[in-house]
Amino acid sequence: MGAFPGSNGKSFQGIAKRTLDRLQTGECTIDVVDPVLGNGCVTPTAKGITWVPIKTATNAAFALGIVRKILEDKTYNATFLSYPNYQSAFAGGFASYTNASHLVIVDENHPNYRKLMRAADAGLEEPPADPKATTPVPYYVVIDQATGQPAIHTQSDAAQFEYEGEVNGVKVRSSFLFLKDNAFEHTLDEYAEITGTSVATMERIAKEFVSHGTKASARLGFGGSATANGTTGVLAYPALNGLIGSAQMTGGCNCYRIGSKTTTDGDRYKLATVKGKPAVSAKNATYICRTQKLFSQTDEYKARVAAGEKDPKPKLPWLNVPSTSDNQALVSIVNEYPYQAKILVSWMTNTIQASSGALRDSVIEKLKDTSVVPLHIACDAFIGEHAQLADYIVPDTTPFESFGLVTQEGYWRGKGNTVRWQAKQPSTIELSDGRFASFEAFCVDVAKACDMPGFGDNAIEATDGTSYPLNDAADFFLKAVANLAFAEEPVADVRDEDVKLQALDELPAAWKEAVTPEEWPKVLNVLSRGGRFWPIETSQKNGRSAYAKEYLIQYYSEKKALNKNPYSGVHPDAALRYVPEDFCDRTPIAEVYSEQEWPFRSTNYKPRFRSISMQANSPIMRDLCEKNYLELNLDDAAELGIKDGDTVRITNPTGDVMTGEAMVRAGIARSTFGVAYGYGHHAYGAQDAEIDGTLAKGDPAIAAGVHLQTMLDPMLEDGVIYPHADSDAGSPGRSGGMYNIEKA
Amino acid sequence: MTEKRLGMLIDLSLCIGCNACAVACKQENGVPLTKFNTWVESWDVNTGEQTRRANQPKLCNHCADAPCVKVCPTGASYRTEEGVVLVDEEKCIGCKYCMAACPFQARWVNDDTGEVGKCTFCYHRSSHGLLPACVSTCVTRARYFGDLNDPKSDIAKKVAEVGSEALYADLGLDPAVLYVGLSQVEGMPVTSAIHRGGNVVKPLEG
Repeated sequence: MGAFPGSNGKSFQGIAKRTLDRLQTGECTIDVVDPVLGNGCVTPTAKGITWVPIKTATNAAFALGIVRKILEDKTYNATFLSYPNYQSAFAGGFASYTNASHLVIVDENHPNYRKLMRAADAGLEEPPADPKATTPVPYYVVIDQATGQPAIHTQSDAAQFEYEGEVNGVKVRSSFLFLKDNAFEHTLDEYAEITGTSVATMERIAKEFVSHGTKASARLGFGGSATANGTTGVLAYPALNGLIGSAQMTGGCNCYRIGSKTTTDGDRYKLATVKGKPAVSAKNATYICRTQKLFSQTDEYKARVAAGEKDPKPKLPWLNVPSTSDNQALVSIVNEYPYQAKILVSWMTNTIQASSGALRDSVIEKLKDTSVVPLHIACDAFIGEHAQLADYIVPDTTPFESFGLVTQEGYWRGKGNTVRWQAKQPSTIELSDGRFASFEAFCVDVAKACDMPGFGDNAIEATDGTSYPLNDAADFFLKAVANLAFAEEPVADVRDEDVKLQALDELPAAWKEAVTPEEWPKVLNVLSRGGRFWPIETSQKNGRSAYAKEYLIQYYSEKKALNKNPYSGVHPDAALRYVPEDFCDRTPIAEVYSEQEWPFRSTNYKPRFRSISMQANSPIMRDLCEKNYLELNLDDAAELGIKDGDTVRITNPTGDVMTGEAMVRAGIARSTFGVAYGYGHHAYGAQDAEIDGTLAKGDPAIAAGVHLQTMLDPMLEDGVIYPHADSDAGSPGRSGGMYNIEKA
Repeated sequence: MTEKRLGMLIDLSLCIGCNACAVACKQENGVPLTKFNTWVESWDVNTGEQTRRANQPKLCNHCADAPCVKVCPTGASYRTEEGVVLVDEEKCIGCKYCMAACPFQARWVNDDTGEVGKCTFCYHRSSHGLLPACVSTCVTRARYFGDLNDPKSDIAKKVAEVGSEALYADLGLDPAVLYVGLSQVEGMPVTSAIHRGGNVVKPLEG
């Protein structure tokens, strides 16, 4: 759901290749649930793959239809669901556990109402605290299957997951029942109606999903989360995998993105350790993007309540689910809330092009206004929509001119890190000391000028206690490569043939000087291989991923349950439930605007010939595809009198207007329109730019196509600019929303 | 011993229309903008039960009985010993007869020089035993390449195993570019415009 093998994903190539290999040999079958039929593995003659056109923003409903069928047939793995802790599940052959059996307090008068029951609530004695534990370990309460009595979740090997009753005089229900309630809220016919799919499809997938033990997997998509109810869709994947216990299992929902310590405190260098670093964290400071906190936990809330205000409402929503959010940071900056961004330094980012709903005059005017953002410095290799609004632009290097160490992306079960290193000398200006202009050089120089710790002489500490300088990118990244080379068993020294073949003896002297003579030949070995990858045979053990760690699937999320909405006082559902898209106060969007007037949803998807904000400057990409289209289903187009190639106008309730060429096709679900993102630039080479007195003429071809404009949330005070977003996670409402379509 | 016949087999069930082949070809051969030696056409089809997306890579078919070679007045278009159809730029006068004669529309004219260009099966690579750029870059290994006349080659084995079909077989040109699943895909009703890369070449009728 939300991912299309062969069309997108990480890594697109690996997924496409392996998917088709295995479909051909009959080793797997795949259902691709997506509103748009992408170019991908659903080819006319591929075996075992089915495209299920789903109505946008209804992923949770589709999943719940499958869950309901599995619950009705009792084909879930009851043994797995009754494991109340990781140790017992592991002993049973699994690599995850659920909180299905954990009890929730449902007594409205209890002080811990809506919370998971703790040992103290049940009058049970907690085990002695582990002296080594740094944070308190919560002890939840279950009904032990053997005794039928309350027990602490770590002290039971099997517990009831459909319990409803009283414990210690307190009304409780097991977490699993909340999922069950929500799954049975609609019939399969209703779920088929909501999703635009069929009962037969959901029944077929439900049957198939439970027929392979732990060798089936519902996978987290990418685009599926970028809707205003995306969080509910994201909860669907673990909920399904939890019914069969396939998380972290070989052939199931295997572990991925497994890597070693590189740019952190590793085997050779403590790269995350900064001596004298100011103690600033989410505990004593607040992210400008309003994440990691509920409004009720903020100083503002406490001050307003102390001043006598009842139920104060924040200027912008607070989001306790995500760690950080770039699109929400942008919204905070333009609305100067929770605080003003007096100095904005942006690096390699184009938030206003990348966040649907943000590329609008009102946002641009705020970013230009020096009373809103007094100083804006952008560091970028390109002058995109965001960077062109900056007061200063610091030239940056491209990926071919810089370093990077990343965990191997994608649905790959092995362990490894890829290393990107300067393949060419940077094209940016050379500084007087021989360095080239780059984000790294900029950071070092600004930090040194401000007397910040962690930069300049003696900034980096090796694990043997020696100190090293940090003056440029190589000083840092080569040490990260050394960490990788020495992780677990150190790699062998580089071979002479590799040095000669790849001209590694011609690398800059500063690279060799950044590490010790002992490390250098091993660093070269890793560079010569583009990274380090552990043998794939060691990645699996006894039917599980060898990298499996304690993993909990929550059927009841206490964090969600306690997330009382400050605008309406509504508590969101703690378990997976189909909730239609809503605004920030949890009012369904269809109650604010008429579905008759605005009958269409958007499906904003990853393009083949662009990226989110880049690639429009590539002549070859523009040659392959000059613009995107507004994609409409055959039947919807017929009703609207629109023919393939017609110019169509799309509007939303905020008054945004988009005009583009219609692509009328069978490969899109009804009641939605598809539009690939990455098109419709204002800048990024489309504009004229004067650089140091020289005019660079813009190329209008870079601007071709349509940029999707999502509506603004109308439920906040006047003057607030808040593009429609998910109320839990703040992810942009890229897909979904409300639109009207007409022939232009 | 039979003579060598370089050829390509494209399995349509494996082509996902990513266009990596088209990009690799452009970079390898320096093909001018707006011209393509190879490209991918994509469209929606109705299989009778569901909608799927067809992708068909196209290129010069390196016909044994090549009409472009026949009509060339200067001998600029010719076939090599391995059966590869090439253009000698020195001899090309830009009359474009070959472009008109080619049923696959595989030839283009260089707007700067007036000379005609086309796919060479990456002759500078394949004549040294390397694969053409489009084949070596293919993400899903949808393209096979090699000597069709050598029963031990990968391509000949694949043809023997699954069969093959040619575009416009009725013209009797004996093309060296073959497909798996061609008539099956061609038999499915078309339910969208046909795109070349991401640009429309044939709008949806109706």
